Amino acid sequence: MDWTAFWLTMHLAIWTTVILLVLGLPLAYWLSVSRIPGKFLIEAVVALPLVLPPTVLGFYLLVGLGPNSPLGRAYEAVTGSTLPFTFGGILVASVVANLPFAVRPFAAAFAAVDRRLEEASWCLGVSRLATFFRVTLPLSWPGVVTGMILTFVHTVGEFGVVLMIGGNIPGVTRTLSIAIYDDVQALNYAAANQTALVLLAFSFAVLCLTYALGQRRLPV
Amino acid sequence: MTAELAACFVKRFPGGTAIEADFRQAIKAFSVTVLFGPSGCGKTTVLRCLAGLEKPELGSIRFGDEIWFDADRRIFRTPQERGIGYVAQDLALFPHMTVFGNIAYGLPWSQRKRERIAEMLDLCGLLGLEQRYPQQLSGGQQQRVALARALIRRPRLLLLDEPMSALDAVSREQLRHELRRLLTGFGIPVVFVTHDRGEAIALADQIVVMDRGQVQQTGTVFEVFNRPANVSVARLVGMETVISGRVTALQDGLAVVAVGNTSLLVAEPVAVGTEVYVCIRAADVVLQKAPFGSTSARNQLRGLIQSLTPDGPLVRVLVDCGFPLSALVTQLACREMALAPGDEVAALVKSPAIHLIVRN
Repeated sequence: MDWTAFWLTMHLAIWTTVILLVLGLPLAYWLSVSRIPGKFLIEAVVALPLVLPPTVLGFYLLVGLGPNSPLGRAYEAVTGSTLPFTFGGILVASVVANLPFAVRPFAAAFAAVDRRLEEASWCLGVSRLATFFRVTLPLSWPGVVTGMILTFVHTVGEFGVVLMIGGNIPGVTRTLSIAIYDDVQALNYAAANQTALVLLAFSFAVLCLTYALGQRRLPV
Repeated sequence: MTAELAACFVKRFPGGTAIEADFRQAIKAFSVTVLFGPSGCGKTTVLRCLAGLEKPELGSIRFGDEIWFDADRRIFRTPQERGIGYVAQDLALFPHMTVFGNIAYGLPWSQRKRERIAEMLDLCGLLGLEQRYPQQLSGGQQQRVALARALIRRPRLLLLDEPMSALDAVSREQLRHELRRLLTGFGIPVVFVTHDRGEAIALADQIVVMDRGQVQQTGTVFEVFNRPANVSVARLVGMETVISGRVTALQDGLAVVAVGNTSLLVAEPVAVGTEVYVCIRAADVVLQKAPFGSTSARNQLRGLIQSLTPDGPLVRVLVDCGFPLSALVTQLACREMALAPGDEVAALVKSPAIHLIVRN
């Protein structure tokens, strides 16, 4: 078992989940309540990582974040380093690749909340932001937790995008799934099996948790 | 500026429907304005515009010295800034909070005093239910929680959207009077939306009758129910018989109105030759079977019963007496007189009970 890869993967998954929680909640809320005509465009962009081959997504991220792109140059000017083949690089890639896994469950949960409850709250003098935290979120938390879990698990299992943009640098960008690929390439089936088994058990356990949560209803 | 709520605006919806509102209400003391009209006439939209949940396209809403909305000056106050109490038709109680949590919800933390909430619970008859969730309450209790939640903030204007529509008929009638008594104590203006005639009569100081997105008439209960301004108001306030006629003569201060192939005496001064709508409330029509006795009613119309329709404890009788006339009699009277379709009856209508609307 490659513990360096394990901790690196956990690190990546936790940060991806946290970032997507901060970015995804407002985006998902906006998607669930907005009635502007061009909304489908944003929805399609958010869902794109769901259908794109990871190599395509990884390729464009590599080009888009590389030292020859405006974004890459700006990042280099600020931090003095480049994004590809660093932990920061795979984190950005992982956030983009996981966007639909977070935003879609969030948005579905928000859409299920009765808008009239929010209106009642506004009429009671409570601001829109406070209403979100006191009414909307408490009534949609199972969906939010589902989105977080899916993001976390999907990040743990992500392979193609991370490989494209991060390569295979032990301790920097070598996650568990890349470690498995590496072991298989080296014909070290025993090590690959060990890691794979851990991932399988982990994924199954988390999915069980998610579905159990989905079955739970709100109190009374 | 005068201390009044002045609402005059137009709200348009995609698809061409437009809702127009135009009424005023004094805001210094307790008074109830009832927005009355059939379902889908736009009453709720008017209320939502007053609450700031909808933004009209034209006009303005003024509350005393404050401008809540002005289309020309691009002013729009949010619901939070208006200091109102709003109770939606479905009550919108927060399902994840107890009764206590719901009522305390709109209070700032500094004002969340137990005594204040207990006082409100007591006032609304909710003591002992603090720890229940809304789903564990009866319809009447839920309604009172919604009311308490709005009132505890001491709003400057209370907006109620058919708050009793979810209740059964008996509780509704009881609650009407309780509601008026409760609200009187708060000394604030109330705008109340309903399609229920009884509710409107019991609660209103001023009635704004709406139909097809427009205000048809504004006035006191008496004015609106006894002197409807036009045919649609007459139908809405329960003048079951509305039929066109023509004033042919004046006789002892009474107008003689030709209706169908008969004529009626009406105690309203309308010039000869005027085309009018004749409005008669079914409850003001008395039916008599032969032998026909003498009566003080000026109008004694002979006719044949067309149909009998049970309507709660009453029976609605349609009589053809030169024109179709609707009458209401009790089930008992109907049995005693053995009324049946085809029977000849006399319909008695006193002349002051008939209302004329001039046709334009």
